[in-house]
Amino acid sequence: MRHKYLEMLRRATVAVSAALLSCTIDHGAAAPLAPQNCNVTAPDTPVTPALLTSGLPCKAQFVSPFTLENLQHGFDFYSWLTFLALNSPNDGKTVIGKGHSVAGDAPTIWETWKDIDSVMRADGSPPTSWGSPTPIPAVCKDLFEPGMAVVSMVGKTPNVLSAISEPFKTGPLIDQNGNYTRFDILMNKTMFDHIVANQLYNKIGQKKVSGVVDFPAATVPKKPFVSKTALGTVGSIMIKLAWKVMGPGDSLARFHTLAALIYTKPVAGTSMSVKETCHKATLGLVGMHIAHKFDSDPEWIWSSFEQVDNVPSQAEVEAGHLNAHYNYFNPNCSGCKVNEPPPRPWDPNVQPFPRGFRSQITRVIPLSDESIGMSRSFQAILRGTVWENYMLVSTQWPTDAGSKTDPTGRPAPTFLANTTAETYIQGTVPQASSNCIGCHNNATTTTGKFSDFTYILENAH
Amino acid sequence: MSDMDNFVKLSAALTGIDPTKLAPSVDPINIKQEFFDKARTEAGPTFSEALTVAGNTPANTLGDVLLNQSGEDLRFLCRSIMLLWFLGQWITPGDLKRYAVPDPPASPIPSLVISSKAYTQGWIWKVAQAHPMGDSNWHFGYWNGPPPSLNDFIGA
Repeated sequence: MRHKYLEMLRRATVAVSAALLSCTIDHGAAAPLAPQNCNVTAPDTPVTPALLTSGLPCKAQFVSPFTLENLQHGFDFYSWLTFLALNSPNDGKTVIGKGHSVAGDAPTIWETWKDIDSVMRADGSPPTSWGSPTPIPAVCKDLFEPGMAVVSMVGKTPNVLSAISEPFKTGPLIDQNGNYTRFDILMNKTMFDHIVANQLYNKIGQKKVSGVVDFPAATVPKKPFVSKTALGTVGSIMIKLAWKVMGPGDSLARFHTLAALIYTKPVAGTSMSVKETCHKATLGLVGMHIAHKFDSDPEWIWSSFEQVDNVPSQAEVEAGHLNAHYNYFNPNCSGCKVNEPPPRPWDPNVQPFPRGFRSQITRVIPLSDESIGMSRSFQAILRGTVWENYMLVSTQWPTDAGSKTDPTGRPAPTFLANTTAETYIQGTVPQASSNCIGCHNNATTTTGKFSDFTYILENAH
Repeated sequence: MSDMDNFVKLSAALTGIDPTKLAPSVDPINIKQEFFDKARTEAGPTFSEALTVAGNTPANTLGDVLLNQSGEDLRFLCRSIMLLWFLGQWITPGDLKRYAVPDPPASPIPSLVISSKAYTQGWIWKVAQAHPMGDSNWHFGYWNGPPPSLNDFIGA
């Protein structure tokens, strides 16, 4: 309890300082902050274009009274600032939405980060240095062009095609053009450096861990609202991305897009086999999870965003308030089974999905009015850009951070699902429905040791 | 004080659990509302009477007043509320009264776990420094070490 009250007191102090000194915050910088730095933006800052260059927040800030609703508001505000910062162009100077591609799109900061396959390498060798090119699978090499990404995962779990490893009802997600949704997991330099320094990238190194796995957390500047130049240090950040193949019915102006090589890993030794293949495609971002570790929130803070055309809510379906087009829902199909994985076999080399199957997905947990309202505010300052087509689902955070009796810290909201990544585990059933902190609380290294809320380490070889 | 404040005060007196543990100021689970609604639905006027007593009685004597000085109806309702907090089960005051005799019925007392949330949030698990079957947030291998202290769980 002492921890919680001290934390509340500290947050209160920061919030009061913010209210008194918010006029001193420097939002006039022309360029986003370097990705290893973070800052603090007062929670009552108006949502204006000045926030587009406010930089990556070191942590969430709050206004009193510290009710569940006000705290959620602070975390959601933090999530949107993080979304803006990480999706800013990676040239370090262009403002988000002012890039040279369609509707101001541009390669983002996180597109320079390390992906899971290049860190947890199949042969257990050390990853290449930060900033070096991503290793290209042999089958993709002839197709590769500079700037291309390699995206391979077809399910939330990397080995989803294996018949022996299917947590809950996780399965592939098929868009309305019959294509498999692809996923990627990336980490920032802070997290990457910790993995390398502690040899957590392979099983041999993980066996050597004598203490606990403890990724670096963000540090906050000592006088965040006094000094215009006060910067904190970014904590460990991992992101998960969901991509759809751009095709008929998809407007490039509504998605952040990526020229990619779609790599399908070979699968053998199960009830079916999948051939190793590679092909080019333009991918559109449909889902984005961001997890950032703070010193005050060792359970990490989990932000989840989606492209606005993904799915309708169950309530919208029941009321008949439907759009003409969704990425993962056909408004003209009355007999389609809702929120059901596709029938087996699952072979991403066979596209469109056989027999006309398309995922028919609805949002089970409605977005909160608070989340909707905040997204509208930020979408307004992103108008005319691809980024106005993204919305916050919610932010999950620990209400009792550092609890001695509950390692999840009693997260709020209790359940949180992104329809592109937790498609089939939406709902409110304890230990079964999607809950970022609750699920990642079960993550371990290959030795069974708690891995600090990341499943990345269990992919070591 | 609101009815909910009085319910939390009453519940803390009956269970011996710190009221800030029963009803944290920031409470995303909010099991107290589910228990409050159940008691009010099942025991309307008697429940209101219990809340009034809670509002008018100092916390340090409230348990004794409710269980020993306020009559049979309040006593058995309070026992139902205690069991609700600990077990997540509603056992009616009437059934508790039927079984509170020297020669009670041989069959188990009728009970109902009112929801999955009530089951996982039952305080019996925390008092036992354990977790509900099928619902553990502790890390792999936790059974190899001692649990957190009882004070950490219930603030007693």
